[in-house]
Amino acid sequence: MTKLTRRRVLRGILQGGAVSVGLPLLNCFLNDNGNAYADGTPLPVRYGTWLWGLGMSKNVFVPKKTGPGYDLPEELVALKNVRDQINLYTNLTAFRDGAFFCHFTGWMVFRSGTSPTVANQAPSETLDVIVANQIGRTTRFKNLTATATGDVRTVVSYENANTPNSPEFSPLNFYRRLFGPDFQDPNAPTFSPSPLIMARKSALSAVNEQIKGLERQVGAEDRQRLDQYFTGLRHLEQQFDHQLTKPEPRAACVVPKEPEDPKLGNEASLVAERHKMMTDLLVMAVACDQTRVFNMAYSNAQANTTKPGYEKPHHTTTHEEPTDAQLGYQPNASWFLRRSMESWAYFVEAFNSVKEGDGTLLDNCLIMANTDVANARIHSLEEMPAFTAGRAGGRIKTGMHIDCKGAQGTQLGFTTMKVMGLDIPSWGTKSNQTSKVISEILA
Amino acid sequence: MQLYRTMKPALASLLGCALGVATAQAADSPLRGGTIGYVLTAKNVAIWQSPDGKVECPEGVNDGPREQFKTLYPMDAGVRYKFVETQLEREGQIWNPTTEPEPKLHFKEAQGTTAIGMNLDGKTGPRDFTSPDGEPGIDNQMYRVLGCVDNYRGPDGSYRHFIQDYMRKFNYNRFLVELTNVDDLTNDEDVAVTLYRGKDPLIVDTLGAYTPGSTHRIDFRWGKSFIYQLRGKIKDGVLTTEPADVTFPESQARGVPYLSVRAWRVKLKLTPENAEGLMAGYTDIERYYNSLGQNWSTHHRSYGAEPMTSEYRSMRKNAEGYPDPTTGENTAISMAWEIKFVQAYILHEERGEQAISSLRDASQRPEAVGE
Repeated sequence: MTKLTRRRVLRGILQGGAVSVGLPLLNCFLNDNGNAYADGTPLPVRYGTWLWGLGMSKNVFVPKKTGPGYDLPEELVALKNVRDQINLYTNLTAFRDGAFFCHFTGWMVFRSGTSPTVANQAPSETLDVIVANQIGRTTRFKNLTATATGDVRTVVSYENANTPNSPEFSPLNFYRRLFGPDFQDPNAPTFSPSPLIMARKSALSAVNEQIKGLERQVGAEDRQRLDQYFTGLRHLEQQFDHQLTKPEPRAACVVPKEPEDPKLGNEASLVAERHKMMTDLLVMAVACDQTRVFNMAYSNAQANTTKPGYEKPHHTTTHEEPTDAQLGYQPNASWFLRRSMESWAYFVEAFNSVKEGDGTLLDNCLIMANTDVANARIHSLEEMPAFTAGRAGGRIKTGMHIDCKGAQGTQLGFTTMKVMGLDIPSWGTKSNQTSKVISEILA
Repeated sequence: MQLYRTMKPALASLLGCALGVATAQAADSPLRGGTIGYVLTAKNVAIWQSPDGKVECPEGVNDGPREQFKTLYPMDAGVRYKFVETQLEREGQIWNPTTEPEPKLHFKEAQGTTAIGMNLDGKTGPRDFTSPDGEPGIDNQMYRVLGCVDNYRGPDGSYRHFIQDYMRKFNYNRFLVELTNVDDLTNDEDVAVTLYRGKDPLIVDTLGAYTPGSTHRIDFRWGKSFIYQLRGKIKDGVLTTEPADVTFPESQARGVPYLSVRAWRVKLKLTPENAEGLMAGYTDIERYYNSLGQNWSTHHRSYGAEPMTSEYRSMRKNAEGYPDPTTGENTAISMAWEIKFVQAYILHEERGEQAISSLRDASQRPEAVGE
């Protein structure tokens, strides 16, 4: 008998459509510790990003101590319970390379490796897409992006320079996309391929045939366009294939109840509530293996979060509020940043609260969090902060504060991609190009 | 004092700078043929600040446009305003400032006796300041106006930040200073100082620091009104110039502003790589106000809480020079800026222009030199 592997599928025909049925995650697939497949292949490591806007108040954000056991200044107090699950990076630099767009250049350099030359236009795909193209092909969604702003314009992920990945901005819509009719519960005792998916796949196959015919009739430029289109359809086809395969059981996967959308608005408590709902849905999407790459935007880079009883939104506050001479920072601007850090702590805890194997879902994740500037008032791209959360399946250490001493911010993104197994010699362009890994965090 | 404007730079500087050929000096020295150039990289209104700000601003910093608007048109009185009675009225006041009192608004002028600046009139008057290093007779009445306006205060006042940002972002404000007839950068009794507007970007290293040694072309076509030749001297490595009325390009967000300053002069510590110090003079109030209003939107003025109409009253109140021949009211106010330059090679002549142009793509070719 052929050796039984986790990749073994049962193939057949159902109502005229091809169906492949995977085998459940049997114990014989795992090693003795339950933390990897028996052949040594580790449990899947997922990749995520988290964005907050408008930087930090340096003198109450940057810890005095580096390494493990670092202190948590006022603006980081909310991270008390997750300090050992994250790494804090300070003193990173995003290089302008001759162009600068106040609240766009900084975070885009961290996410794309290149200083943009056109406002609000990504210079290339973002790093979540690079990772998703490597590890996201076998899940229902190559990557998922959500925002707590309630605004579809909060874009943090680009498929390429011209194609933003629009975020999910409504918890209800996000729920229906994730757990609606197309969702195949990995823990359901039975598996029935969706006739709707089969019909879609069938239609897609017909379209593909037509495209091949078209390709023979058009010029090179149009053929390139068709090829790009065709690539997108291929991805759809792969997704359909996935949905026609019985998913592996996922003990951590619990389908949540359908939520109600919170009120629209940018008041901080509403943003926090929306962030919590989106996070909970995202965590379950990852736990149920609907995606292995995800992005969350707490705010847009030029955050417009508001504070009850205070007339100016966050971004305006950073420019208009005088620095308190006694405190050494802008009190209301810092209030907004503290709310951001509370939500970042919630995000980390949400992944850490889900058991997976002998650890948590967070243990099998690597999440990079970054922002657009260091000091928002002057749009500074020096001394920028960032975080990572999770141990990437044991590949990195956590619990450290690392002073990057002015290094390129792209070193962080490059490091995370290398940790995710990407075989790339370098990343970024011009002054932001790097081939240096932040070795302190490697396990 | 002799002030004269010129369109024709000295032949020595044409050859020495444009062709990069060392004449009288060592090949590795930027002082070549008795000529050295500098390009402005930083300019801040000179604002002296005590450690906690309490000396000069005991009541704190001033309200900005938003706060003043709320004070003038309070929303808690149950009054329903018309657009013309509020926003349009306020805009009209900003564009047509007067010296009439603003009874509902309280403007905080900077207090104390210390200010950064220069002794412009050679006297020590009752309203003069003393510099931080003890020099009496400092004329900087603009400090009283702007000293407690957050926009101008360090380290991160918005105007301070944006002016530096635009210095790098735009070329309109490129400000070049060329010293000719220089025998010695440490001591020289008589040097010629020529001001130009350049048309090339500042060059920075990968850390964003401005690098000396870049080449800058003079804007002979549109920058003629910014060319001045002054007399100066260098003593113990410090360049001072004789006072002259000048106009120089400003760096602001919109438009192409400029400032006019009477009896302008510099005091710069020179090295072969950079120059740093002060420039000062009597700023034309109407020009300053117009430049600010046209090019610095209410949005940006709100960033730094800059109340324009209140500043106007304060400027007019503290003005101490150049009375209007008709009204007798002073039209200019003493002011100082902290400035920094890096050394630059200033390119004058057409052959050099052509040499650079030939290296560029035809579509990027700069305009022909007018001179």
